[in-house]
Amino acid sequence: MHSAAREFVREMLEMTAGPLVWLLYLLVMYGAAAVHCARPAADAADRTPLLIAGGALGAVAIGLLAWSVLRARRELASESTSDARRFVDRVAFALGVFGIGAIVWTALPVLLSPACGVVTDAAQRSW
Amino acid sequence: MSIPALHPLPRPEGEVEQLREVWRPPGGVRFLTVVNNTYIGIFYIGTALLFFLLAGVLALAMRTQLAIAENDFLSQDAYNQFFTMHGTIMMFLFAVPAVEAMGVYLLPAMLGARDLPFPRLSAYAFWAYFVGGLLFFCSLFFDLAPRGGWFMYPPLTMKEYSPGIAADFWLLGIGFIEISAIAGAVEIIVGVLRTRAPGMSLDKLPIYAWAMLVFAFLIMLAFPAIIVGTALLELQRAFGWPFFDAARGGDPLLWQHLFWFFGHPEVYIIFLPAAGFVSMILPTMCGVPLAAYRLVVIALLATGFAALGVWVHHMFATGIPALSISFFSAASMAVAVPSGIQVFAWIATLARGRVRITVPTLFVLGFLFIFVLGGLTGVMVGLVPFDWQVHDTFFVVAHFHYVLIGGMVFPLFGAFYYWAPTASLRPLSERLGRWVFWLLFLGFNVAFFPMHVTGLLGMPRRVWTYSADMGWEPLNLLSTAGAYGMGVAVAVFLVDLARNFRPFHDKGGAGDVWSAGTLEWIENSTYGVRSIPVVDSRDPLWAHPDLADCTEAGAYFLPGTATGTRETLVTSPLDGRPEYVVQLPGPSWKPFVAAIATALAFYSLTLEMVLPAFALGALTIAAILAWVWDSDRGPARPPVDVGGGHVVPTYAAGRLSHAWWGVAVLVVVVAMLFAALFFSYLYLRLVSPDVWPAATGHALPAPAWPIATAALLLASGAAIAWAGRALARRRPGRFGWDQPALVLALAALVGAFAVELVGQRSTGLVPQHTSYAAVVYALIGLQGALVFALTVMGLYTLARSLTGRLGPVRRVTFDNTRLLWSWAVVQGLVMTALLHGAPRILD
Ligand code: HEM
Ligand SMILES: [Cu+2]
Repeated sequence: MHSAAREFVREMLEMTAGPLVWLLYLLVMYGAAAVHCARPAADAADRTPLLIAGGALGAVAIGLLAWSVLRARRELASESTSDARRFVDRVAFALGVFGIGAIVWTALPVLLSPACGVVTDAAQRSW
Repeated sequence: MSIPALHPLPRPEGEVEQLREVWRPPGGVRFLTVVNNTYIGIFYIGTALLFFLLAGVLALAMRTQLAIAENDFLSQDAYNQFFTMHGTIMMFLFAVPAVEAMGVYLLPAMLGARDLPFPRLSAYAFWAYFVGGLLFFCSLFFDLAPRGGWFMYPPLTMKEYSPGIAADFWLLGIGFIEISAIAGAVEIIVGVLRTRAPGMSLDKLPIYAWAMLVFAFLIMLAFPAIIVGTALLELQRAFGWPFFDAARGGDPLLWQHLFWFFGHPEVYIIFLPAAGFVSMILPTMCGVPLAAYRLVVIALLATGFAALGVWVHHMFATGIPALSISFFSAASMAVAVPSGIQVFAWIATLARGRVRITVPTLFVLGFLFIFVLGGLTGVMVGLVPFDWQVHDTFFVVAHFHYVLIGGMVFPLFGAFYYWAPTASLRPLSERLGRWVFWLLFLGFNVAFFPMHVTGLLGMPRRVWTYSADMGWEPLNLLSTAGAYGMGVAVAVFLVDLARNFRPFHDKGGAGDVWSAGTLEWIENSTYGVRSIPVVDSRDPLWAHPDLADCTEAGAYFLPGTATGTRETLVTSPLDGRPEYVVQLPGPSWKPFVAAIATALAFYSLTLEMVLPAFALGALTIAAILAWVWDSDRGPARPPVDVGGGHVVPTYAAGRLSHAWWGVAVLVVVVAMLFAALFFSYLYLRLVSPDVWPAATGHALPAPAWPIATAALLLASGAAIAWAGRALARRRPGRFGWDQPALVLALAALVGAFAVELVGQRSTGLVPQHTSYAAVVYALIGLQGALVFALTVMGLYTLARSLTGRLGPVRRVTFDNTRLLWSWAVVQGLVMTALLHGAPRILD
């Protein structure tokens, strides 16, 4: 069977790895926080499990992206590729850096905010 | 410097006449059977405009009611129906279809394709939308329109609080319209990735095509959530399955999750294509290429992903843990970065060139002005204490109209004026256009700016009247006057259309009146461009001033018809190398009949006419099968020379085939439907552990049941793989093992579904009792729907095999069926693991 399709999907995944990994991280952490906070209040007050999980996952995610960013840079350094490939690598590089920043940014709340209390005064976009 | 011709010129006599003949639209009533994008696209845009007018009339009626205190122009009940219908129609029947329709119309020309890859699917999607949408609107005349607001939150929309069938109209009607939006997204994804002019590699894709690609991906990923949401709410209303009923372990917040997982991306689904218009109009009007092309692509991609991750910010006041809220606030703020990049790229483009102030430019500048203001009020409602003040007041109404009208309606009108010359023999009038712009711009600000103040004065939204001593009257009167000003603007636009818009001409349109750089400005007829040009730059017409003439003369790919039928060139997705010539289907009644039958089937269901609904459903399936029956035609002839020594086949199967890509998109849609239900299961488990088996003591089916299901699923997967290999070896006219293998695979698949269903029922599980039971049956139901679809497809494939229409080469039908089949096996296995594993492991 034709493998160009598979090749293209791989290229696109590499190109968008930054925001993709960030999105997965966000969703997993959201789930983890929800599960954590559904436990009895006494257990939920202790944030340590979330910190460990968030930190470990974050490290893995950032490691993955760092690898992808470096890969894109290496490809860019080699002259031989086509315009289209260089474009894909450049986008991959920028989005990878963006993804790393976004992961750090969204992980900050785990460190900074109270764990499970219900906020009653949060802003809500009410369209 | 010009791109050398690929064949000797001039082209032989009669070549272009043959091309024209093959693409000629039928006359008379059969004109309704046209399928190609230059016709369907215009019908589609026109219909979206019609819904804009209808929803606009509702808005004027509401504004008339609010003009003075204690007015009795509309009753409270009518007002409720009006704002619900206005919001719903504007969002679902105008905004999304309008931008999708522009894509259907513009993309092939911009990419150098003759048509979209699945013309009959476009026709089907259009007619389904047209008929379904009009029927939905008619519910107003029978006092049957929904009253629950455009996001239809339960418990208000549960049967107890919204009796009758009005809410069902919304649920089935809108659920159905989403299907047609998804069909359009399939076209756009495959069209942009596979039918570009040779040489148009990803780095040379017009920025609008990038925007539409992200748009279509968002539809593919986000719309399934709302389809599942409406289906669950409908199951609750019709059969009492308690997904949202707290007394039986349901949770109204589940609706909010499903709705906003779709609803937030919806804003970007509307806004990204509009940003795409702006990114095409500005460079032309400034005479320079778009600044920071690559950064804009990066911003589009980042926005697309971010849009999928921030839905919870619509639910902050609902008792979600502080921690989760912090995640989503942080993520929402991160979205500001890519949006900022877009705006700076536009400003840089403006700064680099000399701007021509035309009507499209005016609309773009108006957009920038209003959108920035809308952004400011967006920041304001983002501030916690402020939001508490204005929550559910007219301040919010003002805010989102600034975003929606500024962000979408202004660019859309700019796009109408900009691209009209590609469709119409005469461009629209610059003089009338200026009237339209200024009336709309001033009317808009007069109507909506005062609403910020009425909101701050405390006027709530969604109330039909107010008392005179609140002091809101003068401002409301002003808003109403402004709204009528907008009405006049739209009327002037219609006059302009009536006087100047002359579409459907053989010669295409007025041509390149703005000296633009992209391919859609080459003379375009029903068949698209005369020959498919070679592209080596982002603004090909600026790089090669004679490209339009050479293309017209037939210098490039496919100057005539190579297969004797409608066709276009399929190219590779990354770098745009010619891969094969695809034969495209022509006009037909079948998609038309299928679309109307589908729409009527849905509305029969709403009216609880079950038998007619079944009959119409059967008619739909029959019409669809009849329509695809002659689409997998096999190679028309040996590989053909399409120009420049490129000899390519006239048929492709497997992963090379564009049809396989279309089905792959469909698989993702199905997977997202499944994911939404999977999420619902886990969510309900989290909020209501007390209705799960461990707490209620309800027995799970014995392990033998899931083991049997899994074994049957695996057997089905193995059998379909075997059928594929047997088909590859089959000789013409001889018996092949592919047929028995297919029957076996089908039997195992149906068997697996039946075992799962019977297994759950054997424990006495009843969907009406708890949310647990309901979500279990909902998952099985989705699998059942998939198995039903595959049964039809499997029997259809078998029928083609038995009639000699399937072989080792001509096998697209089989490959497509098999792709969906493989997903059904995976989905079945995951579902079985969830239904039998989760209750055992989690408790
Ligand atoms: C043409 C000028 C327009 C006018 C005069 C107008 C006016 C109004 C009015 C009076 C309301 C009801 C306010 C209330 O009592 O709560 C409303 C609601 C709404 N409008 Fe518009 N509108 C216009 C255009 C649009 C457009 C173009 C869109 C979307 C693309 C839109 C989307 C909505 C939505 C989503 C709601 C909320 C409905 C709800 O509360 O469920 N409107 N509009
Ligand atoms: Cu949002």
